[in-house]
Amino acid sequence: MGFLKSLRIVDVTKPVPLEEIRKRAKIIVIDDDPHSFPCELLRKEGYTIESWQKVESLSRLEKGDFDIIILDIGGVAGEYSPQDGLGVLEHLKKYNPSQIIVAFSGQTFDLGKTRFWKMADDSLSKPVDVIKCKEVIDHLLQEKFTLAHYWEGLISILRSEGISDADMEKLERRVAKAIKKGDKKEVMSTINSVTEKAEIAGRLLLIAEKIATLFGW
Amino acid sequence: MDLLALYRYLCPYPTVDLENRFQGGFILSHPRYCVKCRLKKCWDLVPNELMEPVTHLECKIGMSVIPVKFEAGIVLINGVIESLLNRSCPPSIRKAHRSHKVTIDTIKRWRSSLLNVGEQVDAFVNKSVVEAIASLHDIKTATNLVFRNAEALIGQVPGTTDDEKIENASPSLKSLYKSVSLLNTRLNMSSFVSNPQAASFGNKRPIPVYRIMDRMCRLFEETATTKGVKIYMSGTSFNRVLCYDSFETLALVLVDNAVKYSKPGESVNVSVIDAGRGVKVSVESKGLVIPVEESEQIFERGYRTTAAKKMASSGSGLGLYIAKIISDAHKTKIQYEVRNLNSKGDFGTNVFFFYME
Repeated sequence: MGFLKSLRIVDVTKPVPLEEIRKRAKIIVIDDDPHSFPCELLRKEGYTIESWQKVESLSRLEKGDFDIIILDIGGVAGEYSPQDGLGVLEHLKKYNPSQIIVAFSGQTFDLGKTRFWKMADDSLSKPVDVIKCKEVIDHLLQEKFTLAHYWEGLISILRSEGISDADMEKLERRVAKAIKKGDKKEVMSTINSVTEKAEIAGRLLLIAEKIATLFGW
Repeated sequence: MDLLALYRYLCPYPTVDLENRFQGGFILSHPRYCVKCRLKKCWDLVPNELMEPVTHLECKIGMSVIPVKFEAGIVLINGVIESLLNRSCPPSIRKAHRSHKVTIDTIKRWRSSLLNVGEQVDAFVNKSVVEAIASLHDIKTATNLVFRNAEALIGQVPGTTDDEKIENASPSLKSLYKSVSLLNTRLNMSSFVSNPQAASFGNKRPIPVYRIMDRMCRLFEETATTKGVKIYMSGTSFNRVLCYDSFETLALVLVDNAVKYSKPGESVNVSVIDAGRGVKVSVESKGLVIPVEESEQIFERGYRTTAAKKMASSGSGLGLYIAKIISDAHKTKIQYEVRNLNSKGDFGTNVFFFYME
């Protein structure tokens, strides 16, 4: 059993075929123009895509219901922030740094909106074609819809909470062990046990849910 | 007119340029004493590094020489006498040139108002550009709709990949798809003019450069055929290079220019070759060449070469400026050279090339 003690997250990462990841990952497109994104064509290609013409439920975005958020800059969230899409992007990134967000707008020309593009994980400038959309989504799925990415997000939250490196290593070993067993409950309860602060525990569990989605649990 | 020349026009005091040409200010002109000066070595007094934005110096004769530093360079005020700092001016000259007395504070105030006006003008120009480009939004929205429909039709064509489906589409559908794709990329071009940072938006992705250049050649096939120009792709490339999305616009500009400035009946040759970990891209076209004296300016905003004006009356002079913004974002440099120059020295092969890894 000695080897289990040194089990790391990297050891339990399994390569998943892209077709399978496309199905598992939930994508939401938020744009006031229903024709701007080729949702229908992408669905036909196996992607799981929902679309909203404005932010219909901020709590669903906060809860991490979607693995990738494709977010327009204007006309989608005026009721939440004077900065519209940019305000939502900032809020979500602060709340859950590992949330994958794609900036999607035709306003690349506006110097004042540069922050929006830089803060996002990737960008799509309107008008877009289906090939470019697939390139961006597939690249993100392969690079960021990964255990390493979510673990990194979890660690950044723990670090900001002052959890020691030794405790984080211990947690990593326990979570890796639970993942290896395929035990979702144990993964969730192990992560939940790190802190007594409800708000932090909530944010950590969001990431734990993402890990569960990754493994198809 | 360059910025320094403009500053000199707006200067109330006399100035001298690097070639020792005197220019009177709109309040004071050069005193006869300075005009007749045999030395005319005002610039020799200016040190390589100026610590202050406005510095007081004195020439051998005792007149004040005042370099005023701007981002664009130095405006050198001469032919004046600074009231408080000038110690070596003989009383006779001081008396004869009472009207040429200035204070360094007045010059500092002039500089600072000039900078303020510059900022206001910049802000106004940027705002106007943004407003002009923002009006494209409606066009983009309409294009989205056309594009979605074209894609839906392409989606129904038999084929396992997108490329296959496009290839198997009917000529008219293929033509529609290509035209809208071209329109899409062109619409995105305007962004780089008002916001050069847009060239590095998004993530760099490993891109098959050959495929992008080939796609661009196909998009321009119809335009080229109308002009009697043929486009050929050559080379072999398997390397994938990390690029931003903006790379596509760089490809568009080079192929577009090559087609636009080709002599009818000639060909455009695009080549992509693997070199080490990167790729070498070159776009060649035959037509009027860019004279050496203009080759340095071709990447400047709004610059159109005499050859370009002769070959195509319309043009904004923004294509290569945008291409440079994008190549800068990718930390590469587009180079230009002429091959097979004719004996008259005006016709040959224009080659634009760059390396990326």
